[in-house]
Amino acid sequence: MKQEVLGIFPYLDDLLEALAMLRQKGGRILTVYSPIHSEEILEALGSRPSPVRLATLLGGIGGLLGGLGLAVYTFLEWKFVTSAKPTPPAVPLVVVGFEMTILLGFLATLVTMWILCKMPSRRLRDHYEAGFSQDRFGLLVEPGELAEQELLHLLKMAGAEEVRLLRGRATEQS
Amino acid sequence: MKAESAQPQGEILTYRKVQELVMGAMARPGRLYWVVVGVCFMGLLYGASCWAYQILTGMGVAGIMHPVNWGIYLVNFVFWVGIAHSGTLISAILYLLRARWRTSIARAAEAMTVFAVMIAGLFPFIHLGRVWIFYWIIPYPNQRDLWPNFQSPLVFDFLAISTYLTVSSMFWYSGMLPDLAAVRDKTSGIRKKIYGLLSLGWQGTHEQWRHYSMAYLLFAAFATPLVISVHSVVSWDFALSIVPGWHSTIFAPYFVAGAIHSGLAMVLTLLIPLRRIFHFEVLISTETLESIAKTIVLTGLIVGYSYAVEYFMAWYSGNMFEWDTFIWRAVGNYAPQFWIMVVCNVLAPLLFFSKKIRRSLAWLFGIAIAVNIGMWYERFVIIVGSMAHEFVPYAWGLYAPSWVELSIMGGSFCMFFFLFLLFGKFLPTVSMSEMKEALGAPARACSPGERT
Amino acid sequence: MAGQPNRVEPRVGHLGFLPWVAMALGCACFLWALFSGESQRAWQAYLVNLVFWLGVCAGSVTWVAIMNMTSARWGRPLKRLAEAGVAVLPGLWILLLGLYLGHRELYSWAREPVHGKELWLSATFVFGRDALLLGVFGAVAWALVQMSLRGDLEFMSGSEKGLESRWRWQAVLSPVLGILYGVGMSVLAWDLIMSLDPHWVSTLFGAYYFMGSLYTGIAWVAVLSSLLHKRGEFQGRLGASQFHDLGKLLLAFCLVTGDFFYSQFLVIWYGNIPEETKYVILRVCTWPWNPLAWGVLIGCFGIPFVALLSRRLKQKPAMLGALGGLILLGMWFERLLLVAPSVSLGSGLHLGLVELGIALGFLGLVGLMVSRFLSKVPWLPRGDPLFRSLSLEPRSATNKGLAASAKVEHG
Repeated sequence: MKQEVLGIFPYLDDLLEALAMLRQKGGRILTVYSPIHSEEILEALGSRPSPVRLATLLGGIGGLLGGLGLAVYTFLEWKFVTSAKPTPPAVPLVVVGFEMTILLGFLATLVTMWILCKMPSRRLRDHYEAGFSQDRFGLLVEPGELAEQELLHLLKMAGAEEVRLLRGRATEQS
Repeated sequence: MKAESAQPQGEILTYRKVQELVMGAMARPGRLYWVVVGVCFMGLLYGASCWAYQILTGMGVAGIMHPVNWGIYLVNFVFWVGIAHSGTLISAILYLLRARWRTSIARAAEAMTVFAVMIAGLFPFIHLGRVWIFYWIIPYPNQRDLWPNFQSPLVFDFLAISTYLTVSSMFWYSGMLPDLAAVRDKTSGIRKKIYGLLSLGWQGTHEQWRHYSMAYLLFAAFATPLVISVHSVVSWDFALSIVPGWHSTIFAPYFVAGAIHSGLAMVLTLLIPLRRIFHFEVLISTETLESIAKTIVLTGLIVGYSYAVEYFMAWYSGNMFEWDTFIWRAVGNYAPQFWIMVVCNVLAPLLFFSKKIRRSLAWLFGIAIAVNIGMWYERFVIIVGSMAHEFVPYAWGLYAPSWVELSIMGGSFCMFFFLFLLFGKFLPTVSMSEMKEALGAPARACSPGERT
Repeated sequence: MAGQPNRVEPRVGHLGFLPWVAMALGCACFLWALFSGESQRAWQAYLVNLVFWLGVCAGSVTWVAIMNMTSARWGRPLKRLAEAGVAVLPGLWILLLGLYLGHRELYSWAREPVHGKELWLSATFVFGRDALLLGVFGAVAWALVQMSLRGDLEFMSGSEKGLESRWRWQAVLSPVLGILYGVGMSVLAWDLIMSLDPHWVSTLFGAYYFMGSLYTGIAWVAVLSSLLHKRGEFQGRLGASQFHDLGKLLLAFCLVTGDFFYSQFLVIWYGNIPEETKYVILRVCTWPWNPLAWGVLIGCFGIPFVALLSRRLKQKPAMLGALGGLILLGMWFERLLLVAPSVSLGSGLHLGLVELGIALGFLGLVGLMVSRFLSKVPWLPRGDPLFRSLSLEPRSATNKGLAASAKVEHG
């Protein structure tokens, strides 16, 4: 049966220490909960930069081409000459292209971020603690190569104020 | 109150304290609060009914008439767009520049931005007269193959303002997600449900933070050029014409600086009371207000530079229409407005060179109000003053706003304060997660002996 | 420890004669052109280089003032390189006075006064006010750099007594310098460049010139730092993170300068008033200037914008330096484009040995002054409180870190 252990840490440096030890000894880190954005946690986990950037780039290019395309198309469709300017005029289309780049690039980033963050979701995970949004850090681990007791001990030694053994849905205080 | 940020921040603030302060501000409001909200709402209703009256009766009830066809509706439009600028300046530009003082005020400034853009967006509709056909500006396929003219500054405006509204509101909302989750986890009952829904199920996992922080950086990177483009586009509503006093290449940067000038002043106007009411002195330190004041000096200098350069160039160009317009600004019928503008926008902020004045709440508040007034008059002088005194003396004419226009303007201010009051009570007014991040994560190394 | 006195070592070594050769070459080319009937060409090249290097030097020093005002800590190790521009200012001031000798060749208002502007555009008044403004700017810049240098030298000799007052002086002088930069550079731009076509006006022109000059100033610092980042005191102090931030700043200024250009262009294009458009049409639509205009647009804004979006490129000193060089080259041509079409109306674009030689001469002067300056001073601003907080602050963001930085921000 799949087992998970949740450690709750009041201090970030303890958590980082635990992360380093777990990575060294072969525990499988599932999730780290944090009330703040911390580069150190991401570094300790060896996370790569988020792929959101790609969506931004694609959205931006799409917006640029789409905006310019629409404007040029409408000028060709309806050759409406105003103030003796050519149709399509190149100079003012910069503004159209620019705004559409920003709009679509932004929206693409937003939607991709939501999808990657699995938002919106209506349910929180069962083991989620209210403290994780306040002043507590959480560490969800699978024992991996470690023995279960060894893992519990490791987390406690690292400075977890509470360590819980999670079995499926049932939660057990340890 | 007593703390008054005399002590270094690090000693007073803890994660818990931040949480308590911000959540404390969201506690059940008293009667006075509801009275003020009610008054603002009534003002809003009054403004809305005046608009309804204008729609029913016709545009004749507004004071705009040849030659001044752009009255205070558009003055207010530019004014509110300007107010909307500092929020993004503070939250996005200063975020990219890693200016730490922005952290505690970014949220409130962004809220201000969102509300101000919403209001600004209304004014072109009010000015439009037949507001029900506003959708003609949207490019949609139609049987007569008519399209909006993508060369028109008004279409630029539509694009820029709607983009700005989308981006600034979603930027604001995205920034709030971790805080909404924090509120969700600390409340119960119906409030928990609502904030839970609003927080979209944020749990603060490392994966979420990874994508979120990258996205937030990109949002800021988008918002920064956007905010500059928006007021540039607004300035081009005027500068692209050939009206003396409008056709000027400096307009875009000058308007952007002016927008930030007024926006920062509005931030001070709102934050000083907010800080006092919610006892946020520890969060929003006097140094922060001082930094805003310094930035106001900068924008005030840029605005002053622009005024001076416009005068110089009007003379240097040898164009008599241009020069006459500028002379008339200073000594003509709208001279009082002009001098209010100069004194409030350029001279008053110079007082902020004195450290004593920068650190005094009364001075800060007073000068901020002065700048707000001055910036409103700046738009009045530019928009109305230039139209009233175009090329042909025979076509000169004056303008005074009618009671309908003034009422709608009053309504817009009521709407702004109404929305801001609701925000102040029901949403976290200071970004808790960013404040916590700025405080530095709790480390055992820094708290010896404490072991649970 | 940081307090160790700096060893001055010969940094240019056996290449020290190069600037002299370049300067001699420049003088020779200039004189040759002057006396072989091409005096206008000589003075035109002189003016282009003068306004270009004025922008670079004044811009880079002003950037230091901006960093002081904003308490920017990331760029502290680059402070001295940016300050080096001040060493060139006296030379440029003399060269500005020298321009008086050739002003009749360049400025049509000197030959036939413009009605209504006789007083403003009279040679004595023009050169008097320009020399005064540049002189005052230079004096304040010099004082600012002196304060910064003395603070560092005192700190390195172990005395921390005067540090606070040195820093306070810098805090006072920085906004003054910023204001002088804005005003002075605007007037210089109107007088030296815009008045070449005395009937053309653009309200943004002054601001466009000084913003572009900041852009070149920062590009110049990028070039210098990429050349020197492995040498002397910079070893281990100038890393990927500084170059990354410098790259971001270059990107920002690329956008702002481009924005100013577009703001100016769009308004003139749209208004379509002959007095204004003739200036633009001459440069953008007519041979031989139009390819140059496109080249400038691509070289100064197009390529840097796309290239600087890449994080990896920004972190590579060599790449960033090369890009800075490209920006400088592009902006040099941009200055040429502002100056030359108004001077040599219709006679076309001259880019020959004369122009190359004079450009080399100016480069030689700048190289000489900057290398002499840098060989006499510590490269790192050891006494700068923000620099010290940078080197003392721990990497991790802890409560201690915030307290330290809070103190600096308040102090």
